[in-house]
Amino acid sequence: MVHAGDGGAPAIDVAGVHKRYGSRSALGGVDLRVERGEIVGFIGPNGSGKSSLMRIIAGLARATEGSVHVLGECVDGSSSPPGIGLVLEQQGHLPYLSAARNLRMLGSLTRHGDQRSVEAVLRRVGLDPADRRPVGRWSFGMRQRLLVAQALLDEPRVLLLDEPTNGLDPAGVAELRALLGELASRGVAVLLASHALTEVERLCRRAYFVRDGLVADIVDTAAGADDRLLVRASTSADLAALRSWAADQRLAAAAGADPLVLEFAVPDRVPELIRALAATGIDLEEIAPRRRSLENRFLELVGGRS
Amino acid sequence: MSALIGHFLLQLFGTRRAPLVLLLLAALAWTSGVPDYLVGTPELPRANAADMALWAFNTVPFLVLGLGVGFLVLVGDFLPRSAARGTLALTAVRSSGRRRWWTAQMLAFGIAAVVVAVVAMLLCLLVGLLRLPEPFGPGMPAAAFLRLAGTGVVPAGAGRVAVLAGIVLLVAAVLWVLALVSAVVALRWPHPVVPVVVVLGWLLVELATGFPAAHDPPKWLLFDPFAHVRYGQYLGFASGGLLREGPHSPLIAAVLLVLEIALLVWWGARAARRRDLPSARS
Repeated sequence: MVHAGDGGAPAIDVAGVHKRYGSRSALGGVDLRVERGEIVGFIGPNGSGKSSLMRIIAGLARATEGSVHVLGECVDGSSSPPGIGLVLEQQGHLPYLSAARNLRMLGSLTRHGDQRSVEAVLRRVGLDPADRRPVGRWSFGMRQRLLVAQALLDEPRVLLLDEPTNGLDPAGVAELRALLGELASRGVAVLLASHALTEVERLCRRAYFVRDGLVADIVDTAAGADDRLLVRASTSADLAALRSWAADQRLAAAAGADPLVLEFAVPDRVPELIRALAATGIDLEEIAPRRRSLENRFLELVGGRS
Repeated sequence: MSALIGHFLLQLFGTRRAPLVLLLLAALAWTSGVPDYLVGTPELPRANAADMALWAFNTVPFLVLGLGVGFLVLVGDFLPRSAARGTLALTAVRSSGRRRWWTAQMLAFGIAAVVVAVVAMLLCLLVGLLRLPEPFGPGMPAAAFLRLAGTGVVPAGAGRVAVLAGIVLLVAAVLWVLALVSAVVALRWPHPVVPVVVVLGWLLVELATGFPAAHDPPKWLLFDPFAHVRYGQYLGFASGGLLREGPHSPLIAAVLLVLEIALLVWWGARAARRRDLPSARS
């Protein structure tokens, strides 16, 4: 049952959600919040509970405990909340129909199946509305674009995307990135479950790491700088001079992965360190903060298991 | 609701399984055989194509293997199959409620059952046209199927076409029950094999027992849809063409079938609201 709620509520509000299948626990008390116009990443190893939570939010499954609100309305698993677009890992097209016919069929269920809407949404994902071939003959990547198109067909205010970049070529990934950015700027909330961590990092301000059915960490992807500064010398002689200078200054420095790089523990004031480095007269090629990628964090979190 | 039903019907008949079922029915109709008393004896004139269709629809292989198993091939694993393909999620999120989604699916099964029964009847008529010496003749003098008129399956005084239509609807109702049972089982055990095995088991029991109900059915068999569909028990086809009174009323059979269908639809709708819908990993 979906109940009327507050119009200013978060797009998705998941509180203390547990999900058990018999004696097996898939989710062990997940809290998650997505505001309107926000793209939030949802990452974790296979079997960590991502798809279960997506299905609960979409109203296809029930939470054993806890509550789920979508656009202020309570979702209890007996119906799906209105205003959502869904991309699951299975593509769900009728392979013997054309893309336009597939979308018209689905759109007719919610009165969004008129020809103009269908053609517009197909163009939006880079597909040709005049292509009459059955989608069963299409490449996987083209069918994935069609899957995204069906999610956009009903003009959703919340998008639940489970691995939407599966099978997309680099151009398709870039187009999807631009599309999601545009949708978010118009107030559409997006929950993006993906193993394409670079995309999550580019698109999302926040990402939830989920492991064994629990939110293990919430990462601010913009604040990804580590506590190290990479300094690349021009030559090995410059590197030796740099090492000597660091010792004189009593700065902690260690060899980097690159033989010409020295990694400095970042002091309180980075600008002073850079000014001092510039004043040494040593030839330097690069000074940059060492960023710990989302992938590194993911691997640290799961311990190499995925 | 009609758009949802149309979507489900496209999923059912758009697969490669549909032409296979058609071939199976055609083969069984052709091989169902024409008994001597349908071809004609000195006492009885030659049978026509309608008699042939009535005969085929009353034979165990055509009924159980052709219609039962054939329809099961189309619908038996529909729920798990649509979950695995992702169509289930795409239709369910667009439905205004789980009860509506379920009811539309069950109505689609009912329409599909009628379509399959009509196609099977047409195939039998075609075989009659091709194999009988007088397919357009007056048929059996006692017009066995006309005895059905007034028994509850069709109104009194109904003609040949109405009787054939009554038989088609009776068979379609039984096929619908098969589909409903498989769907309800799939809600509880959403595995592609489990619902098919359950219904196949039922059909095998029917085959193994050889429809004992046709001659002297115990009262409890009133609840077995297949016991009703062998309308021969009302006509006496099973006893070499001699007409005899049926052991129980076709009207009661029809009422029980309707009750069984209503109960299964209601139960499934209730379960669909209370349970997780099957997923690809179920």
